[in-house]
Amino acid sequence: MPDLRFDPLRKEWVAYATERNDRTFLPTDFCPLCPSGVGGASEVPLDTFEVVVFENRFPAFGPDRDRGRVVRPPTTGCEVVVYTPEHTATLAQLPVERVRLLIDVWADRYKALGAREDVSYVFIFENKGEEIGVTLHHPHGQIYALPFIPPFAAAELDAAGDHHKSTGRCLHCDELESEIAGPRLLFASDSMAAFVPNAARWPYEVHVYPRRHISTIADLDEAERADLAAALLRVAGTYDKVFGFSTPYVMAMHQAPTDGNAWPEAHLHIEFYPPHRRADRLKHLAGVELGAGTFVNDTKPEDTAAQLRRAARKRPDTGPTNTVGTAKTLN
Amino acid sequence: VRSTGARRDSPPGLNKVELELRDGRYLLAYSRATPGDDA
Repeated sequence: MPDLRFDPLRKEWVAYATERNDRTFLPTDFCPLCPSGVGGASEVPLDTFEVVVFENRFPAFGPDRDRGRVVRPPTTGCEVVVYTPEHTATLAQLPVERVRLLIDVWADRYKALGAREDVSYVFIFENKGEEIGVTLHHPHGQIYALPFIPPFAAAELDAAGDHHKSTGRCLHCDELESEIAGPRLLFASDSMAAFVPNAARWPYEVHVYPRRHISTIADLDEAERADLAAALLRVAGTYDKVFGFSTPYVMAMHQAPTDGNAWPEAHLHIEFYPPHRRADRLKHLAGVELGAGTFVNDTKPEDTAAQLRRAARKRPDTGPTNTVGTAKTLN
Repeated sequence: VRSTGARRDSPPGLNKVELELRDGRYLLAYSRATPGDDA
C-alpha cells in the first residue's frame, strides 16, 4: 500500500511504495505496454491505439485495491501514458501529429486529475533510458497526481510569487525575455522558446517555454500546441544528434498547482535533464548534490547551448539509430 | 477488459474511450477525432 511520511527536518513528503520493488523490470520476451489484442495479457488489451492512459499497476501514489475493489480511497493517483503502439520508437521519432495528440492528452489529464479535491499538483513527466532507471523501454511517460505541491515546483512558485508581489511581473517571463536575447537560446518559434538556463544543473539541461504567460498545459491554444509539439521533437531530436545515440533524459513539466488557489505567478514550462555530460560519461549525483543539495556542473551553459545549436543544424539523416529500445517488436 | 464506453467529457477534437481492466483499473484510449465521429 502506498504511504506518505513527512520529514519535518526538510519539510518534505517521502513516498513509500514497497510493491514497486518487485515491479516488472526490463522484460526481454514480453512488453506490458505493447497492444496485446482484446483479452490479451499486456496492460493494453487492445488491437492497436494512438495514445492510451491507464492507472499504474505499481503506483507510488494511489488507491489501495483488493481483488479489483478499492479498499482505501485514493489520496492521489499514478497514470502511465503510452505514446504509441510502436515498441522501439522514441518521443523524438514520433510524427508531429502524435506529439500534438499527446499534448491534448496531457491537457485533458491535467484538468481531470486536477479537478479532484485531493490533488494539489499534477506532475507530468517522462523517464527515458536505462541510465535514468526505466524498467520498460516502450515509449511512455507518467503522471503523478500529488496531494501536495512538490519541493521543486514549490521553490519556483515561491520565487516567482516574491517577484510578482514586488514587481507585478512574472519572473519566468522576465527570464524568458533575457534568454531569448542571450547566448543560451536554442531556438524560438512564434509561441515557444527553448534554451539552456543560466543556472543549468545538468550539462545539457534545456527548458521549453511558451512565450505567452500561460500557467498550465490546458491553457495553450491550438497554434501553441502545434508549436510545442514541434519544439519537443526538436529538443529530443537535437540530443540524439549531439550525442549520436538515442539520448536518455528526464522530461518534467512544471505548471500551476491544482489546490484551489490562484497561481498568477505560475508559468508553464518543460524541463529536460539528460544524464550525460559527454557522449561517454554520465553526470552522477554524488556527495555535494545528494548530501548538500548543491549541483556542480562540469560544463558551461553557454558552451552546451552552442553545441546543441550546431547539432540541431545537422541533417536528419545523420541522426542516431535507436539504441534505447530493443530491436524487435515484442507484441 | 470491459468497455465503459465513449466519454462524454472528451475534449474537442478528441475521442476518449474508457475501458475497465480486469483488476478494476481504468484505461483511457485517446484518438484524434475525424469528421463524422460521434464523440
